[in-house]
Parts: sequence; C-alpha cells; structure tokens
Amino acid sequence: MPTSRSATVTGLTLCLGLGLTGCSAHLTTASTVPEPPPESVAVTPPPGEPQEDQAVVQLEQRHRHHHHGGLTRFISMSLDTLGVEDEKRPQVMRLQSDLEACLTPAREIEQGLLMTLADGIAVGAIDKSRVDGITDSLEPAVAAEKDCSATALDQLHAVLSPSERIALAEKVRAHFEVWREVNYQERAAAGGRIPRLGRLARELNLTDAQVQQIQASLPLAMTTQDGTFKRRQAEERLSEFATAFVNDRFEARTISSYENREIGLYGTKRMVLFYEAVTPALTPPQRQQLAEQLREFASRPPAVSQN
Amino acid sequence: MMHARTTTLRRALFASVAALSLVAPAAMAQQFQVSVGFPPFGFIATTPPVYYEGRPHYYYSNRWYYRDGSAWRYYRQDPYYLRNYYGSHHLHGPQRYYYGRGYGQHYYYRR
Repeated sequence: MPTSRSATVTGLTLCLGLGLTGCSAHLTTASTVPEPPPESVAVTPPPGEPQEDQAVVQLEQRHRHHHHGGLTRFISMSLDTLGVEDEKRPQVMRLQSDLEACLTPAREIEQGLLMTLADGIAVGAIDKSRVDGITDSLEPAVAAEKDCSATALDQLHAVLSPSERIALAEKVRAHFEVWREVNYQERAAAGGRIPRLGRLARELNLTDAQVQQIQASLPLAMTTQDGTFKRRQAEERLSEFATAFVNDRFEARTISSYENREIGLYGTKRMVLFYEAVTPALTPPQRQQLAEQLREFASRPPAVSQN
Repeated sequence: MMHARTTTLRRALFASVAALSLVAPAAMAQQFQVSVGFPPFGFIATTPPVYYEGRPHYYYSNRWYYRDGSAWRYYRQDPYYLRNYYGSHHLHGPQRYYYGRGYGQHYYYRR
C-alpha cells in the first residue's frame, strides 16, 4: 500500500511538473514567437495624436464618398501603399488597373449619384425618386465586380511574396476599419455622436442649433432605412478573405467571403440618408459649399498608384 | 470494495491533474496576448511598410512596429537594417499617401 501511495504521489508530481513546464514554455512562446527579433516588447497604446493627420483626414473623406467596389476597392487602394519591390511594380500597377476597370460601371453610377445629390443640395431639395433609381441600378453593377476581378486577384496573389500578402491583408483590414468608422453610424441610433456630422460641422461652420437639428433627424431617417449593416458578418468575411489570401494557394472565385455588395450598397444608402437629413438645416451658402464639395469628389478620377 | 473505490478516486484525480496541465498553459498564455489597434488603421492604410525578416514593419511615433498575431510589437533596440533604412534610401521618414485633390501624391512623414 505505501508503495502504491508513493507511486501515486510521484505520478501526480510528474503530471503537474509536465503541465507547468508546458505552461512555462507556452508563456515564453506567446511573448516572443514567431522568430523573435532582437529586443522586442509588446505594445501598450500611447495617448492619441494631438494634431490631425492630413493623410488620414483625406482617406476618411474618400471613404465617406466612395462606397462602390467594397472589398475589391479596399484591395485596389491597398496597392497604393503596398511598397512592393521595384521589379514587381509594373505587374502590380497593371493588376491594379484591371481591378479598377472592374469597378468602372459602379463608379460611374456612383459619380452620377454624387452629382444628383449635389444638384439637390444646391437647391435645398434632393430628388428622392431619382436618387432611389440610381441606387437601385448600383446593385447589379456591384454584384458583377466579384467575377470580373477574380482573375486579377488570383494573379496578384501569385505575384506577391508571402510578406507582401500579409501586408495587403493588413491594409485591406485597415481600409475596412476606416470605412466602418466613418460610415457605420450605429452610435447615432442610440443618440451618440455621428462622426460624419462632426467633420461636416467643421467644414461648413455649422451652428450648434444646426448640428442639433441634423442630429435629431438622422436617427429617425436611419430607422426607416431598408436593411442594416451586419458588422460581425462583415468582419468574419474580411477575416476569412485575409486568411485565404496569406495562404500559399488562393482562388478568389471559391471564397464566399469575397463579397462587395454589402459594403457598397450599405455605404451608399447611408450617404444618401445623411445628405437628405442635412440639406434642410443648411443655409444657401452652406448648401452651395457642400454641393461644390460633392461635385469635386464625383469628378476625381480613379488612381493607379506609382508604387 | 474499499480498494476499488480508492483506485477509482486516484484515477479521477490523475485525470483531473492531467487535464489541468494541458489546459492551463493555453489559458494562462491568453492573458499575455496584447491586442491593440496601433499603429492606427488610418496610418497603416496610407503608409508603405518596410519589409524586414518576412514581416511588414511601420515606423510610427519614432518606433518600428510589426504585427505578431493579434498584438503589435516594437523594438526596444531597433535592428540595424531598420534603424538605417530611411537614411540609406535618402528619405526623411515614411512616405505618406494622400487621397485629396490630385491624389496619388507622396510626402515624407515628419513627426
């Protein structure tokens, strides 16, 4: 019996020891892998940046007014700053042109929409039936983008190195997060701050009364909107795409998550609702200024980067 | 009868400890994951990375950052390649990409 008890204690000690060893190994691994570079430390976020970053401000403006293309557009924009090796640049630029070509039908419809909104804002009344007609025509154009861009995306995957694929997936995620922050106004429905309105208030020098008037009418407008943005679903799709893209084998057509419709249409509808709510609260000079701004956004050509 | 019950108890204890030893490392490691949105998404979307050791790196607020799973990390002591990257490429810092009027222009990052 003592022998048996001793064996039990030894066994338990061994088992616990193995567990702690595993634990220790795991802790070491978690704080340093994979392949720890010299002297690296985990990050805690520092205080926010005091001054505005103009590159980010301009990016946010772009994401506020151009929604067509969804994920494909985020991929194309990510190529602007991917920083690929010199010898790959011509190929990457050609593939970015191919992606942009697939986005052209939806982009032209969106330009028409922005011009229509600008005309309506200038005279103080947006033509809702005309705007709805344009928005409806956007849907098939956005739906066609996936098939059109699949080949270019497959070729892009083949051209990029594993680390460039990681960077691209990270940038697509970053564009999505910026787009979501400036367009997804869930907080507005709960009476929270509307990011887009804050920017507009600064640009047009809106009074507090004007801001309150717009703020009050926006949640009402949004509750009457058809469809809602499924944030969790969008994030899961994005993660699925990112995971697939960093793999060695990739085939765009087989990825169900590679989907532009939700981001493209949701963003467009929200943009329309926003300007419909804003227009009645503006003075004539403010309306002219905003209309000019939208015309300017509409007229910007698609860019193919020099990266 | 008594012996059988004791054996059963011992086996159950063994199984519990063994299971704990397998689960505990993963559970404890979770506490050490650092998951922060930094550098900001807007910065990542407008700045080309520098590739080093198979990872994209971003120079932000005077530090080189890279992603490690769900965490961002920086170097206490910058590797030579990164420390000299911009100087050796005749740059003052990261290029930024601007989407304003006439976009597609690059400027050098200063902070």
